Amino acid sequence: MSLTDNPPAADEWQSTLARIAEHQDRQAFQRLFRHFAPLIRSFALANPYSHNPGQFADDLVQEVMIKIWNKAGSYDASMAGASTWIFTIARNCRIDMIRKHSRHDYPLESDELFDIEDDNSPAPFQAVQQRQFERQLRDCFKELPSDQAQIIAKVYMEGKSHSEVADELGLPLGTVKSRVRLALNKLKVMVTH
Amino acid sequence: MNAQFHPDYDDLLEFSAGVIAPSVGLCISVHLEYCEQCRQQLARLDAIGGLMFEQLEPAAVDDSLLDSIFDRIDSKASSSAGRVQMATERDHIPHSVKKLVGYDLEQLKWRRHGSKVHSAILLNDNGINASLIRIQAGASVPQHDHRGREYTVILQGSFSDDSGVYREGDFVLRQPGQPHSPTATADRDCLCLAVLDAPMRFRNPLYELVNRINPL
Repeated sequence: MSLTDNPPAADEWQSTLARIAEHQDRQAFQRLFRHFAPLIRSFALANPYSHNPGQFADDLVQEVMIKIWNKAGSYDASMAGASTWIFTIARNCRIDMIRKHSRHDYPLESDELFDIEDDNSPAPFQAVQQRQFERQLRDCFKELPSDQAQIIAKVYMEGKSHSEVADELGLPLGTVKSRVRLALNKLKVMVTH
Repeated sequence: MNAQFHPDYDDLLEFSAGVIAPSVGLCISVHLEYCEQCRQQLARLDAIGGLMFEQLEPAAVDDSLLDSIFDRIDSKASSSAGRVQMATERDHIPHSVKKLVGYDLEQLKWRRHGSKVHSAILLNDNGINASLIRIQAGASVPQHDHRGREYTVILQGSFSDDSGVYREGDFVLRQPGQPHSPTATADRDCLCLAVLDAPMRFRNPLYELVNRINPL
């Protein structure tokens, strides 16, 4: 792989997020809202654990959009596409909201688990690799057999663990795990050194 | 030094999807602080989430939500002072563990297991305990087995058992039926984060009795 070929394509949302961060630009934020709020709502509704799905979904949209407003300055387009960045915010908010709704008291917020303190910023070639990976992932995903794609979707979008997916589909846990592993191979996810 | 032992892909994927048990997630989060390779791996797994997210069927959103969001932004704008930095630390304690215990490990409720092994529970989620375990330099935890899985991340120092030597940042998973007796290396105390999804079982009946009174 050459480092000079294919510089990361400018993400269409990169400049929007930059405008929000630098100028508190509400029109930019509105554009972002029109595109992403319906996806966040859909992500909330995909989760089967809330008692009042409509309210849960509205709450999640608000929480996530406010985090985007506050954290837009920390978005690093060289490390992730905007969809990936927003997915990670929605994931963290969804975990925390589900925990708050359950009676279970848990002392750590998800942001504290996922914001990894990292003294060394990644080397530039890693950023290039990551953006190339994201582009290639798009193509690989289209080729994924549906039984594998279904499991990945249940884990990521419906928020189910491997064993919950196994129960739901009536498959042995080992089968679910091996399908996941096949999928990760096809998606060329494994980092090798 | 880079960590030599890592979580497997299943666990990293469940972490990325946000579906892993919180205490196991804590172990992974701590390992990630030490391990660039796994951070890179996580970034790729997150990208799968991003792709699935952007391919979701959009669900209609009421425009009034945008107004509520702007209202909340306006009401917060005046009060949003910068975050207060916490005091400097004494030990190198990972970020996520710090959030749980603060900086002073001595303030935890340490319990003794023999004279040279101490443990303190950090959190308990649905019966799964995450504990800090401190083994004095050169000392051993008596040989034991587990009914469930045991996840360990080494925070300071190192220990060895039949299977190898583990150093700072290493992520070690022991399945039930792998009895072991970790021994801290002689040069310094070993501090670990350990998560058990079922109580441990000592091989020596005497320890088993102690264990019932004072579970690790």
